[in-house]
Amino acid sequence: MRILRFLIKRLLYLIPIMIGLITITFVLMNVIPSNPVRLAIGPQASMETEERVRRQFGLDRPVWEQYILYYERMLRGDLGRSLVTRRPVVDDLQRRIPASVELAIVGMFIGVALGLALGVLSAVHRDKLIDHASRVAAISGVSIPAFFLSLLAQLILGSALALFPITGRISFEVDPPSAVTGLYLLDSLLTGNLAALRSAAHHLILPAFTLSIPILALTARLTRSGMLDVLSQDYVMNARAAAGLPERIAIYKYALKNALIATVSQIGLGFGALLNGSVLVETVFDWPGLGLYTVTAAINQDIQPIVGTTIVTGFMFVIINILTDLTYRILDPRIEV
Amino acid sequence: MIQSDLSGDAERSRNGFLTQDQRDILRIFLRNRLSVLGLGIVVFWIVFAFIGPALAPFPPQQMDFVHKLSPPSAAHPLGTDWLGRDVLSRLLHGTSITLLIGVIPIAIAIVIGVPTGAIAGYFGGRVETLIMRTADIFLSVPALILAIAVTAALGPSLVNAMIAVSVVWWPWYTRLIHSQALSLSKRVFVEAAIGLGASHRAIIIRHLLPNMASSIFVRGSLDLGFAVLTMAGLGFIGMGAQAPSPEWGLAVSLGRRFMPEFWWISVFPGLAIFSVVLGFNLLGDGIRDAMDPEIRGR
Repeated sequence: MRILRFLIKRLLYLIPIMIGLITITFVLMNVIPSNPVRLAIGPQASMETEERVRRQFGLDRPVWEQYILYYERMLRGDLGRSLVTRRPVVDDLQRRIPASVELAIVGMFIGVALGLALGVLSAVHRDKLIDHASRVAAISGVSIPAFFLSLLAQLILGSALALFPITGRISFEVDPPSAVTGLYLLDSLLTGNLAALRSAAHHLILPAFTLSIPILALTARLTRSGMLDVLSQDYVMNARAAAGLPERIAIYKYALKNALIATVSQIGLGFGALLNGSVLVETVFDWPGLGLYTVTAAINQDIQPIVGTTIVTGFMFVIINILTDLTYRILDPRIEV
Repeated sequence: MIQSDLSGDAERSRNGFLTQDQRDILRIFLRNRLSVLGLGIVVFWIVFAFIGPALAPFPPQQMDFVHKLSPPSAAHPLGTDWLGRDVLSRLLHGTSITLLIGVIPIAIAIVIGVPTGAIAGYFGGRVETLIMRTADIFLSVPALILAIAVTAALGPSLVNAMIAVSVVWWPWYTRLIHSQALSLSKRVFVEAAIGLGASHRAIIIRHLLPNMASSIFVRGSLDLGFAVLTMAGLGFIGMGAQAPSPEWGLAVSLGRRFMPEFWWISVFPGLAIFSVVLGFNLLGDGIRDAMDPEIRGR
């Protein structure tokens, strides 16, 4: 019941957030000193087209009326049309979201798994060489620009050692798996297409690993401090002093559980880092997801797709945060709602 | 007169110009070798930001088509780019830009975030709801994506990218200051000031702000690295500095076309960004560990 009430409260809170986001994007498109119609139709279009589009979008009406019209469009799920792809933004997003989601899930998984391992090693061997090394690695991981790490990965693992393909989602010689979910790994498994599975996994490794680095660093730090919080408490220290090996392992397990809860509470931050990173990683690896879509649109001054991705990413980010908070509360019932 | 700063002036007069508290902070900071390393890296780059242009062997825009795309050599220690421009000279000329565009958005974010947060926390009520909910909306989109949207709408340029980063960053300071102002306004010295009839303005400026200065400083120093990263990222995707600026993010981006054969054009500016951010992050962590009483001594 308590959890349900929390969930309803947070979901209701989504409404003012979305109203706010729609307002911000409306301001971006209209109050700025640029010509939104020109931005929408591109520099080549004629004056007549400009006039027609202006009327079509109701831009000849007062601003408040336009604001209402903008809501109506959003509620209908109409995010406008992209200049570059010449398709409705909603269609583009539907194609590209699975690519980003696949990359993000695998990146998150790699980051959390390696981060946990590194964090546990650090905590167990506190102030030893391995602890110092992993802390330096963690702070380097959040300091290296995602685009630079991507380039280095391409340069060393892709070009010099020729271990991995440098760009794209799947080899040109392999047909992508028939779309069920849009996630290539899952689709090729479901359809039993092993050639596609191999190629997709091969293409996924470099970008996913690059994307995982900030998550890895964050998880390692949280796991380390979460475990040390428990291990440095008096009763645990006494128990450890008297314990044999099996008991020690049990204590570490107990400490790890505590650390996991702390890590989950912060994983929303990790998703933020992941979404930021994916813009740059997708750009370098030519990965056909949301990030590359946004960047291509931004370079071409194609405003509708940018507004569309901003709203959709904002929505996904808020939902992810609600889900992580929910998990956190289920794991740790001591937290007040 | 109400004394809001309880660390006494008496100690200061006894022990030179630092208080006991400040000397403790300094001692903890200097004890951590990584923090000192971070300080060293940051000082190194700040020095180069000033003297770099004078040290650079070539003007940053000087082209030399005979020696274009040449690898690192004695004449060009970091090689030349596709126009024959000296990579080292461009790096040195880009130092001040890269540092400044990291610092300025944070400064603007503090200027917006501190008053809004203080007003929200001190007055409460509807003002608080309005300010804090607005902040939440800005935080509901990942920073880089919102920054791209704002820059794209304003038109890609270095100034607009800085505006965009300030726009996505101020809510963090609003949140921080809001929670601090909330707890400080329940403290005795603030209640006493209210009781004595001090104006709201005076209470915020004379009693709240001085007590929040250290957390603003800690947060600011932790944020510098991320700001440099974000600005470099915007430069990399073409939304920040525009050619022929020697800004490092842009330099990495433009050199990408010549990868992997002519790797030096991108790799050296990339390493430079990495080291600046690492320096800021190590320094920021050190400052936080030294100044945050809860973490201190752990």
